[in-house]
Amino acid sequence: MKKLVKLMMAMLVLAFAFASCGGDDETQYAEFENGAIILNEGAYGNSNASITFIGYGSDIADNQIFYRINGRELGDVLQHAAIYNGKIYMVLNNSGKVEVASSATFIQLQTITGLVNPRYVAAKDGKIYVTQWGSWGEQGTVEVFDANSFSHSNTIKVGTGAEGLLCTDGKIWVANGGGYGLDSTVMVVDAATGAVSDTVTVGYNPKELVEDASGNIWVICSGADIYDDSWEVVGHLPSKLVMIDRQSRQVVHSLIISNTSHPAHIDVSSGKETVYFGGGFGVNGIFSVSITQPVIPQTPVINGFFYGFNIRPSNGDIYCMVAPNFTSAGELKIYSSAGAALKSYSVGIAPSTALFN
Amino acid sequence: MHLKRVCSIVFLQLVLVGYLCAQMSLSDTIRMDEVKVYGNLRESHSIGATIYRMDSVKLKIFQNRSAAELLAMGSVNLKSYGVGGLSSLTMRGGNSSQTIVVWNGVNIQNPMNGGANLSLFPVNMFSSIRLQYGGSGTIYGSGAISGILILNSNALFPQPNGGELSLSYGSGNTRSLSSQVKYGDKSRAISVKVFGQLADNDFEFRNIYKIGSPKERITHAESKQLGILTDVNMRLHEKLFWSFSGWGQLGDKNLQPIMSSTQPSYANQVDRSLALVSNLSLSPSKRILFNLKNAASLGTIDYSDKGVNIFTNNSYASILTELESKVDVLNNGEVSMGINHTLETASSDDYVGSAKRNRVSGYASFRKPLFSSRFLSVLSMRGELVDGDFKPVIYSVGAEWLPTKKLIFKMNASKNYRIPTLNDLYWASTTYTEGNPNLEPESGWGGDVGFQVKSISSDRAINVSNSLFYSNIERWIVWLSIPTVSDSKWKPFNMSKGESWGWESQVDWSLRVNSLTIRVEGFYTFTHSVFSEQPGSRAQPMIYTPTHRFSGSLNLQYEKYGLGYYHGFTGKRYRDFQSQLPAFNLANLFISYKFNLLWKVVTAGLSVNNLWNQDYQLIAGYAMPLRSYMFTINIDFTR
Repeated sequence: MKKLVKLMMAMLVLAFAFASCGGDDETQYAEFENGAIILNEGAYGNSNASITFIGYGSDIADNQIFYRINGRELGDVLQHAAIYNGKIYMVLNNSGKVEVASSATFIQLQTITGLVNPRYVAAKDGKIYVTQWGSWGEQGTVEVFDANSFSHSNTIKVGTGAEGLLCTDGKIWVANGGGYGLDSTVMVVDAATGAVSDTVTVGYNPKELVEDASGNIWVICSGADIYDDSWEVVGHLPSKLVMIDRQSRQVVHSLIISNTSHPAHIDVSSGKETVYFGGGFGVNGIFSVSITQPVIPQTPVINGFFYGFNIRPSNGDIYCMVAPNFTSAGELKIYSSAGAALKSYSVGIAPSTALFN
Repeated sequence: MHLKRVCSIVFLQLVLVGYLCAQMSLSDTIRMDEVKVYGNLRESHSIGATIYRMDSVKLKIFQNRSAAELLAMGSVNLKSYGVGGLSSLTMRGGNSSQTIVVWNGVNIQNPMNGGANLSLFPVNMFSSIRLQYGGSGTIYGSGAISGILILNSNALFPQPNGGELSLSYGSGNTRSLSSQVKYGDKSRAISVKVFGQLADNDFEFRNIYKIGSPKERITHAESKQLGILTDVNMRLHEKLFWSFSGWGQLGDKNLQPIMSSTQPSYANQVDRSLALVSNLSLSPSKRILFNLKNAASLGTIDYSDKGVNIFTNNSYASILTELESKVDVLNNGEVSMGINHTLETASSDDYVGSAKRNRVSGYASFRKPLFSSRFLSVLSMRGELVDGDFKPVIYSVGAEWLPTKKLIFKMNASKNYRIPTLNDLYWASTTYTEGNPNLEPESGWGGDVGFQVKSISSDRAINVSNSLFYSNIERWIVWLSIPTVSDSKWKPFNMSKGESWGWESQVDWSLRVNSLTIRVEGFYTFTHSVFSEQPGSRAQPMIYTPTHRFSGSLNLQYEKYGLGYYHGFTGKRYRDFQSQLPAFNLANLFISYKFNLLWKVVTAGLSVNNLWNQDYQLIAGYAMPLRSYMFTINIDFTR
């Protein structure tokens, strides 16, 4: 009997030792580098946002990695994220927070709170910039945080419903997307002082911005439908693709896309010589224009209704996210830059954005 | 493996019943809580159905609380958006609008959303609470695909005159008052019940959405409730009886934010409802009874959230007229027939114009005992005309066979449907949402087969029942946003199919030895459910439907002392296609002491809620309280 007890104790100690070793190895292993990170918004009010990781060349989609690593859910509506200096900053819109984790291991590091309707995030020179709408009737802002201490350092007032932002050449470009109403401006903020230095009028409800190979800024403006008090559609504000000269802040191209279609996303090819736009609620197709001779094409590069899309900078592959609805599994479809279908994966609920690690 | 376990448990129950039955011999009577209900003819036509009845002790213990809190400890699956928040029940895998809620014979669901917020149903308003499982409630109306929650007042004449006042104070700064007074004689009687509650609801909870799951307090969940209910019974003539019930309820509730949110919440909802039922019963002979019922269920719901500038005002009304008859025929047979007109109207800031719907239905039900009442059978059918369109005829058939006095074999089968709610049909086309006037009714069929063993003697009683059930729902209405089509608004579709089967087992045992009364109750449900969101899509488990659910209670009464332990286990439930909420055990402990003060009977009680301090959620993300306490004092003025 004593021998049996000793044997059992020895096995217990060994098992504990193995378990401890295994745990350390797992927590230090950078299993989420060298792949695409898919942001799954989840359904509004359900706090079921999630992250999917897909290694480059892998056939496997690793779903719910934040939950698996940290044992807790991310929050409600994963609107956007950015990777910077080994960390991923994830904006949870309806939770009013930014979750920070290691971009290599996804181990949680910090939660930045005190935000109201945060939308997009960007990072540059040791600072994190988060746009937010604020409550009803409030002006949009850019909230500035230290990228290491996560402390809040500044609030910059911008236009209505601040959305996408772009950090370049010491400036923060902010698309004032209209929020609960309308806006049609892009604001340029001096990163050093936090002062708005320029306001550029573009199309209605600018959502996202990218910089091309020539250093010009391209903006996707969604436009909107106009309703009367009985919820009848009584007019349209067209969607537009706008190019702004980065130095002069002048609008060089303002191209009408559609009266009735309201694309919300934009990205650039790996060489930054082609601008892609499309995707969003009920928008059919991903379209492309050359940065030198921009003309809105009649036919898309890729047919299909995509909730979001992004382009992998290293090879130009187009990652298109399909949200069949807000309750079922979403799908990631990967296309070549020419629009040829390459692969598809089942991911989380309402995938909207791909990041490349 | 499951089958083996099921067989073993059934076998054990049978053995236990046999043993206990052999012990029964003493002369005092334990009254099983049989409640004589007035105002409808329907209970006797529920043959073959699985029925769960809340016992009077449980109703007493929960009298200063809501039906949602009571049912959370019961045999059904409750969904709740936080403490005091919107709460609804589901049965056998269906959704909440597939379980109808009937008060004194009238469906009081809101026709706008097909729901009933059980957190605004104070327990003290009802003398009887029953659950009828499955779609066999044809006689109650269409829509009861998954089951029926039946709430009733008691006939007043048998009750003594008197009153009762109950005051409670507890965690979350909860202050409740309930009272009831009954006065009358053998021909006229009136009863008035009042309930009021103020609560901060700032209970402790563990925030599992934060790093380290810290303990926090629920914020922005304050609530006010006021309700008044009156019952009037009048015997106008030897053969003519009139009853009236009126129930008004007000709820003003701040809506607590979802746990993952760090943003301030400004959401508030004010609910006002009024339900009136008048029932005139004429019994020209012992074999014939006529009922003329007039009822109205009215309400307003005002939702506001200044944080996102949403202010919506909604109002609804259901006006019902019904003529029923019951005739005894063919040697103990009974035919019940009725014709019903219901006008449903609603207006909302979110509707285009106001919505209106006329429903005319007729039903017939034939109940017949055979072979010296050892075999009971019932066949019920109902046809309905909705705004001039004939809907498919629904029916249910049930049978009970009593080979011995203590054993009953049961079965029932039914076909049912549920018409879309007014929200489904009339919601305005906005940027993100749109109603769908082309929706078809949901269609369902299902059935039960089982047995019941019961034995009542002078000092003990036992009731064991087991049933297997199957339920199938086609053209399930779901609201979906489909960004993959050009019209991608949130919109209801007849897209889904649901299927569930399972097993329900119920044990109820009570014993009296001198001054000690013991009552033990248990209810277990195994549910296997699948849901296909779109034709051809992969079947997924139904959300918020646990595979295993158990509720049990132990009540002891010894002279002036009382002790009750209630335990509910809810297994893992899918909250979406990929994630599950963890299982939890929820237990409440009640102790009470009865004494005389100034010739009145006073009962002082303490309850410990969530005794084991469990983290749990009924709807994902909505915090529920950790352990909390409530002290109650009850004064009985009845002579």
